[in-house]
Amino acid sequence: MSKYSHVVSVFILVGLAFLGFEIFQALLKPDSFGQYGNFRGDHLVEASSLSVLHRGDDYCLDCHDAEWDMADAKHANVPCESCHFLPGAHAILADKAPPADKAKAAGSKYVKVAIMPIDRTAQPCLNCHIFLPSRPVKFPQIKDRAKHIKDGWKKTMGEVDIKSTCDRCHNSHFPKAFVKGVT
Amino acid sequence: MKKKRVVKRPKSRREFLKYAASGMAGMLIVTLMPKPSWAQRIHQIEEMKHVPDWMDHYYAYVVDTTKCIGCGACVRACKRENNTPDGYFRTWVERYQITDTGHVYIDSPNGGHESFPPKDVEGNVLKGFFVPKLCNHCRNTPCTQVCPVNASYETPQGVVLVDKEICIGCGYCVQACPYDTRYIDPRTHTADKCTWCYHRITKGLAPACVTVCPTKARIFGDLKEKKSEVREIIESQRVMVLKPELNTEPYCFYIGLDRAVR
Repeated sequence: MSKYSHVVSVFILVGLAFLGFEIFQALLKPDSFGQYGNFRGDHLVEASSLSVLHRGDDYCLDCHDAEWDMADAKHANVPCESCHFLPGAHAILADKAPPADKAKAAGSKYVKVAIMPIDRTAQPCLNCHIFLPSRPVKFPQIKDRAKHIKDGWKKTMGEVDIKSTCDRCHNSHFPKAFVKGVT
Repeated sequence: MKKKRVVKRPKSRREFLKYAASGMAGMLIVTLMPKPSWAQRIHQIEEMKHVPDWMDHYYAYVVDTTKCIGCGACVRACKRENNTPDGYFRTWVERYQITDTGHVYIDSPNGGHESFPPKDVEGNVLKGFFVPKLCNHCRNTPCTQVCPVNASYETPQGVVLVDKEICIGCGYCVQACPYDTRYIDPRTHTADKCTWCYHRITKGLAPACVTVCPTKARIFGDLKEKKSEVREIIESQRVMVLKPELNTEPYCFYIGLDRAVR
């Protein structure tokens, strides 16, 4: 026994502790930890690979721009998918559907793909246009719905049911124009 | 020879007061040192380049409360896009109504998911407005600092995320967030929060709430891009952040904030 044996044993103990820590860390630490920073690098890939549901107008206009120009419309800023439907299934099926010229040969203007259900009740309109004191003053709002329909009645000179939905008089795309077909 | 240890300590009250005064003056000088302005910070961000190209963005979010109409389209879109459980919101809209009787009414029925029903208030509403809220993606982040397992972190693009594989659902971050934007997902029992739709922004799309906003009250963009809308707004307009006194350095800016907003 040399007189340094106690020092050696301390070194061995510290070395073992260090080794144990390294083994534990190697076993427990995710592979990609520290790739981009102090986190699991693979999570960035996982987080960015979720499926996209909302696509925005550009996505719809890829196919539908020729038939529709909303540039001057009051509702130009309202995205298509707010009132129509999420384009997801519609667009996936559209890719698989026969090309447009085949549909033309069959005598149809459009390729029939997934149904896009539209909520035609007044609720989607009223979400934005019912009067609330918290809304910006300049934003068009309806204070009294019954009165609004009654006033509208005089303007259109037609039969307007009190239970009518908004699209009885307004064009949802160009809401300034009263009565469908009359600009 | 044993040396006597000399400990310097104030001998009299006068000397003590002198030390105390100089110490306080020093602290005051430190607190008065100018902080970099937002425009200066943007220039600092531009110079940062230690990440691969696909990550070479630095995002910011602007909410224009003067334009918000409280339609709830953003709340609905967020729920659909991120499939959040019922009753839990990554983003929500608050309605403020300040009456002539001096009352401030704040409510957010179901987060504004079905827009807002008219509310009976005492007196006449003098002013009212809507304030959309979401995770502020702070730089001096209280929520990531308290995470005991390092599941919550900031990406190099300035987005705060939660790694659900590592999260143990202890809920410390939910308590730590001063903006109440985090919740424990009852399905997975892990923390969840707004990610600025990380799966969308990495593909070059805007977050779902920004995409569907009909009045463009929500604006999102890259601060490293010279012509981005957010950068132009932060550099040229009067913007404010929520709870600036907490020094969390949020990257979600608000235009037209009122004193009543908490």
